[in-house]
Order: sequence, then C-alpha cells, then structure tokens
Amino acid sequence: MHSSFLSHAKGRYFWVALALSAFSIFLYVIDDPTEPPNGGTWLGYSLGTIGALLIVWLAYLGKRKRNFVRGWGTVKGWVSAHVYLGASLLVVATLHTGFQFAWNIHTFAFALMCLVILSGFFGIFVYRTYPTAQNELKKNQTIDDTFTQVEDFEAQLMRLAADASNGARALVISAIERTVIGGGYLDQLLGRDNSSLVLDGRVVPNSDQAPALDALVERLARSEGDENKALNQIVKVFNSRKKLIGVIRKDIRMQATIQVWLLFHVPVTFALIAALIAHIFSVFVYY
Amino acid sequence: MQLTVRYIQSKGTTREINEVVFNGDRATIGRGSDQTIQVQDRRVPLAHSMLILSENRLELKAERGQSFTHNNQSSRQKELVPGDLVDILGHELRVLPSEEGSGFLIEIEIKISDVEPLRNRFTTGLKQLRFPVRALSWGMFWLILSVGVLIPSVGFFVGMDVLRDSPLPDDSQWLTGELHASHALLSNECDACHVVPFEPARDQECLACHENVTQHFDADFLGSSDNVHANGECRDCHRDHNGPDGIVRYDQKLCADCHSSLSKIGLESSSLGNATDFSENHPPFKVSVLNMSPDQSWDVSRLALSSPDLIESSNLKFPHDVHVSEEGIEDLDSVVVLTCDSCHVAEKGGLSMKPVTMEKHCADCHQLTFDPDAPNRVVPHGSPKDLLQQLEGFYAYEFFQQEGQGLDPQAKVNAYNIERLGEQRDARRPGRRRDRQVINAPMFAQTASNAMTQQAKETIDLRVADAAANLFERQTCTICHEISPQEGGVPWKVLPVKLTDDWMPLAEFSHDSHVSMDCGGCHEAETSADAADVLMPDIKNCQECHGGEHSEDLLQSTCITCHKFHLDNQEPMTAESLFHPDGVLADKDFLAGLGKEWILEAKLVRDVHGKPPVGNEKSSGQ
Repeated sequence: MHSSFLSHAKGRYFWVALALSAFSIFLYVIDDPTEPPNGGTWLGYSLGTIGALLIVWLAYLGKRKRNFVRGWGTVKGWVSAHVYLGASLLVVATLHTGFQFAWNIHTFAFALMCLVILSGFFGIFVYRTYPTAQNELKKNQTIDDTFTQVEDFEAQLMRLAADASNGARALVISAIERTVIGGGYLDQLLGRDNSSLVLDGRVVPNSDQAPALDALVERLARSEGDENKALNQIVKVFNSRKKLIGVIRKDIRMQATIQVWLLFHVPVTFALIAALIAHIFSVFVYY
Repeated sequence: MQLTVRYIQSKGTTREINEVVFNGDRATIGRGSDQTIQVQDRRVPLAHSMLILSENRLELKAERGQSFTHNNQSSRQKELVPGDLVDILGHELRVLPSEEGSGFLIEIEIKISDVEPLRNRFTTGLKQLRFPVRALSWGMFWLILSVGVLIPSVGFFVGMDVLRDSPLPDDSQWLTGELHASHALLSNECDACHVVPFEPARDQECLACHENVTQHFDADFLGSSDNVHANGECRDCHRDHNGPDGIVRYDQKLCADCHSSLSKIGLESSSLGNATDFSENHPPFKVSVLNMSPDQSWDVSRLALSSPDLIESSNLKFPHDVHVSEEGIEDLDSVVVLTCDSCHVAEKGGLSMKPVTMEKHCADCHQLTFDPDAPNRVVPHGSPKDLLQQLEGFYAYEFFQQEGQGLDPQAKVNAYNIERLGEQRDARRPGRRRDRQVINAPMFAQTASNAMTQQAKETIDLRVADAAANLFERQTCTICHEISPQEGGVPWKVLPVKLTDDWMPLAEFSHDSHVSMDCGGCHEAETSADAADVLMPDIKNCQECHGGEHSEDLLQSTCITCHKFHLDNQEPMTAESLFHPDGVLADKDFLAGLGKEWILEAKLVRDVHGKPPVGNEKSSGQ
C-alpha cells in the first residue's frame, strides 16, 4: 500500500525528531549556565556536537537515499529520516547558538544551514503538491501526449489555413512558427512566454497566443462566406491549441520548480559543510 | 456488415498497401492493439474513434475528448458517404464507393512523419540546461574552506598582522562574539589572549595586564586542603565573547560550591559561617570592633552584632541622640538642628564615609575657650603639651601687658582663686563666636623668659594651671575625650580616639545606592545616648529589602552584590596562581616543570595591598 515518506513506518522519524527537539528545548530551559547561553557552555558544546553530526549524517543520507538497491533500509525510510531529522536540526542548532548572532563565520554557517533546511522544506512542499497538480492539469496524460496533441492541432491548422485567405494563412503560420515553449532557467521557472507573431509586417509579442487569437477573431468578425467558415474552424482549433500550450507552460514551470530547489539544496549543503569545518576549526584554534 | 479497410503506409516516397476485411457493426480506430483499425502513431490515442456500421449507413464517432476533421470541418460525430475525407490526427481516412455494392470500403493512409517531434524543438526541462551542480558544489566548498580556514591559517606561520594589513581574509571572521567593553580594544588582536593554537586561553595572558588581581583566600593558610581550588584558571569564571554582560560571574553558585559547607572541603577551623543564599542561608552579621591595648596600639576583634560584649571603645564621648534631636540644640543665640549628613558624608562612590573631624564638624559649636574674661580666645585642638605652651604664652602676654598699663596682674589670679573656692563654674554651653582667635600668635616666649621675674612666673603658672585644669578636667576636653591623669610635665593624658572606619571589611556597602533611604532606617542614632553603642544594622534589616538570587518579592541579590571574590587583603594572583598537587602552594621546581616559571618572575605587590583591619584572623567577615 502506498504511503508517503512523511508517514513512513507510522511516522517513526517524526517522533524521533520531535523527541530530539523537545529534549533539546527542555535542556535549554532548565540549564542555568554561569554565563550567557552560548555555544561554549556544556550544553552548547553538546548541542553543537549533535548538530554537527546530524549535518554530516544528513548530507550522507542525501547521497545514500539515491542508491535505491544497495545496502540496508528503504529509500522511503531514508527520505523520511532525512526530512524529519533535518527539521529537528533547526531546533538543535538554534539552541546551540544561544541566540548569539553576529557577522562572523559561525553565524554564516548557521545561516547556510537554515538555507539548506528551508530549501528542503520547499522541496517537501513541491514534492507533495506539484505532481498531483501536474496530473490534474494534464488530465493524467504525459507531457509528450500533450505535445503530440499540440502537433495535431498545428497540423489541422495548417490544413485549415490552406483554405483561408492569404492574410489569415500568414497569421496562423507565423503564430505556429514563432511559438516558443520553455527556454532558459527563468523562462521555465516563471513560465515566461517568448512567443512572437508577425502582424501587419511587424514582429510583435504573442504572449499566451492571445494576440494571434485576437487577430484571428477580428478577421472572423469581418469575414463572410467560405472565408468565414474557414476562419471559424481555425479560431476553434487555435483556441484549443492555445489552451494546451498554456497547460504545457504551466507543467514545465512546475516541473522546473520541483527540480530547481535541489540545484540550490545540494551546492549550499557543500558550502555548509565547508563553513561548518571553518566554524569548528576556528572555535578550537582560538579555544 | 462488411467493412474493407485498405491500409496505405506512406513514408517518404514508399507506399505499402494492405487490405483487411472486417465483419461486424462496430469498428474501433486507435493506436491500441485491441483496436479494429490500428494506427501506429504515438500521437494517436489508444482509442480515438469508432465506425458504426448499419444498413447503408456509416457513421464515425469520436471518443470522449477526441475529434477529427471531416471535409475540413472539425467534428466529433459524422455520417460518412463515399468521397468524404476524414483527417484523424494527420492520417487520412477516405470513404470509397463499394465495388460490390454491399459493405463499405475505406482507405486509411497512415503518414509516418519524419518531422522532429514538437517537444524536441524546445528546451522544456531544467535538466536540458545542464546546471553544473557538482562543479558549483565543490567550488563553493573550497571557496569557503579557503576563505574561512586555509588563508587565515597562513597567519600562524607568517604572522597574523601580515594578513590583517593585507586585503586577504584574516582571523577577524573567527570572533565568536562581542568582547566585553573593557576588552573590546583587543577585538582585532585575537592572539593577545589566544597565544597557542588549540590551547585554551592561559592565565598568564590575563595576568600580564591584570597583575594586581588578588587571590580569593590566603593560599599559605588554606592551601593545605586538596578541595580548595577556588584559585583555578581565570577562564573558569571569566568567559568573554559574550558581549558586555558576561565576563563576571554574579551567581550564588560561584560561592555556594564551597561556602555551603566549608567543613566539607576541609576548612573545619574557619570562623566563617556557611552561606548559600542571602535570605535563606546566611549567618548574622559580625562587625570588626577596635580594642585599645595598654600600649595604646589597636587591634580588631570580630563580634556578632548580638554579642553582649559589643561596645565601641573609641575613647570618644558622643551622644548621638542629643546631636540629632529633632528639636535641635540651643546655641548662644539660636537653635541648631543637625542631621546625619551634617557630619557623615559619603566618599565618592559611597563605599566609605569621609572622616569626621573636630575642626570640620565639631569646632563650630565646641569652641575651645579657656578664659571667661577672654571669650574670644580659643586653644587649638592639638596635643596637651602644645596646648599648655599656648596658654603660657597667652598669660605671659597678658601679664606684661597689664604690667605695662600699670594694672595689677595679680588681681586676676586672686579673683580666680576666690572663684575657685566657691562653686565650680558651669561648663560653657557650646556655641559659635564669630570673632574667635586662636592664641598661637608668635608671642614672646623668648623675650618674656628673659624678662620675667619670679613673681611673674608664679602668677603666669598659676593662671595656666587654672585654665588647663578647667579645660582638661571640667569644661572642654573632657566633654568629648577620655582624660586620665599622668605623671610628668603634662598631668593629663587624652586617650587617643580611633573610630571604626570599616565595620564589615569583607562586604561592600554603598551609601550612594541607598541614598533614597532614611539613615534612621538602619542606624538607630536617635536613641543612642552613648558613643559605645554600635549603630550597625543586623542582617534582618537588610533582609527587609534584599532577598537571594531567586527571590521573587525582594531585591534579587547574590553574594557578589556585597562581597568580592578577589579580596583586597590577599596577595596578587601573579604570585600564587598554582597549587601543587599535594595542596600546598606550588614551589619553584614544580612550576618550572610545568613551564610556568613566569609566575616566579611576576611582580609581587603584597606590600601595596596591606592587610585590612581584621587583626590576626586570616579569613573573616561576611
């Protein structure tokens, strides 16, 4: 039976993480150090050691959970542990700081850790919500299916346009030829539409194919007879194509969002481990 | 019904034709293998549409969500007649006239396109952009490691100052927190305290500046106990990098570790009471009381405030009640109302009081007159011997002046003698005379001695003796001083006065902090008629306002609120900062073995820090 990594083994790692966080908070509350709370009290050192070990272990888990077969444990179990213990790290490490922050390598390491964890939270969010939303969007078809349908509409449009006037034909062909889907990082992530259209001899933006559709509808309103019939068909098919391209663009945006956080999560984790080494080194070199 | 389907597979210029005959009334069209008419094109859905065959009628019906083009008209359901052209996702379906008159013949031309799929024309996934995750990850790793560790560490070999003077990253990024304000000047000089890498900050760097910081106890006296380790490392208590607040410990635990039970740590002989909390566990106050020995030196004894033997033996006579009476004191021509601060004024900081002196505080009223006929004349407040010399001078001057004026200098003597036979003259009421003159003018001691006759000498001696007796025994000195007779040139001895200036030498009390309070709230001066009364308040008085560290309804006060850890009466830590493992003060050889010979070179400032007035008690005071 399917269960999410969040509820893996009846939420075993949730309870482990919760217990770790609660115990850390409990110790922090009852601890009455002879100096202001900081990373250098016995509790500070303890929480710092736990935190550092957690970071190294979680980073290893991040790699480990990608090995589907080798070794013990399940992928879902590893993900579950990674997620929950990563979240508890936020509590452990924050208490380790004793809420002392400044412009130094120590707070820098803490900030990187927060960025990694928060990007992880974002990852959980998109993994939990986007695939379902994408399936609903594409009506359970694959993105290739949708592209194929667009191809079909475009083929239909080309045939229909053959019977239309020169102007309408040029408009349809231009709109199809100059349609742009996807693109660079920002184009994909923001769903930016760089499509264009030749209209009255000028290249104009054709965002979401709306200007092209408007121009066709305008021609339809002014047309008569066979031209009117042909344009009517063209407008119908063009509108369907427009909707599907919109679906594809949204799907690309969500798919890119699902992937992009990891492009942040992983490099910042490496940065965090370097900063953690610098943090520990500097604390003890000037012990 | 019979349906003949002619497949035409066209790819480029090649064409392949197959014919299949189907019997039935429904023929499905789609990509799926279960379809009657299979169109092997990934663009075509598994089930696209259905041909419904009936008598002389052929109908094409698209599946849900699908459509086709019928003679260039988009449609979902249409009856087909021979000659019709249907387009199903780019594949052409032509209805041909049946050759045999029965059944239908359709021709399907399946066009396998060589055109690149639409998706491939675009960049539709982030993966296609080949984001350099691995390179970026390792790049950031080594960049941060270099900036945070490798480059600053070069400073350990070439000198950190070289890095600090260069634009390269130095050790300033390692500062773990704001330094205490008094150390903030060292914020860019980590190595001022952290000299040896990976070794905790050492005492010697602290003591290099703080060379006068004193020990907590006398190590010679208490060092025999293995448990006494209060003189540990500086950093045990003083933790910097916690901003302006963290460097001094104020918690009770600092003291309670040992002072909860001194006998437990081997100090059974200590005269100190155990203490852990000011309101819950603190011994009653003791005060340091001065005692004069027969040789007139002073020593100190510690007495509980409740002790019946508690008196102040200052050799001064002074009734507080008279002086601070609300009605005031009648002067010669007015009423003088004195308040506590007429005499007692705190030093700057309030920790001690400025000394009360005769000249500043008493002399305005208590004028040292000696002759009713010369009420403006006063003797100086000084030694009896000086005082007698002044009197001799004054009366010699008077004698010769009267003689020069033709008067009988003897007459005054006679008059005094007559007076002395009668009642003793009352003590003169204290009061101010604005025109008083001290009789210490350079008179004629030398000239007079040459010229004086025997008679003059007798007369003058008599008058001096008379005036002196009045001063010492009856009217003036004895008002405030203990006078005892003695043999010799001066027959009176004024016992030395010594007021206690520090009742509780091991506690710090600031009058400035208590300035809003009434003096009488602690010191019962208004009802004290005797200078022997000790007017110090006991602990209960303080406990009305002050509680322990965790007090909820009183002022939270810890040991350090009143007591210091580094005691003024102890030696500087530079001299005794290490104990030998057997508990005694470390000797030279032991220190040398530890590489801490520097302690031997440390400057001893014991002499500068004199022992406080606590007598022979090695450790005393609460």
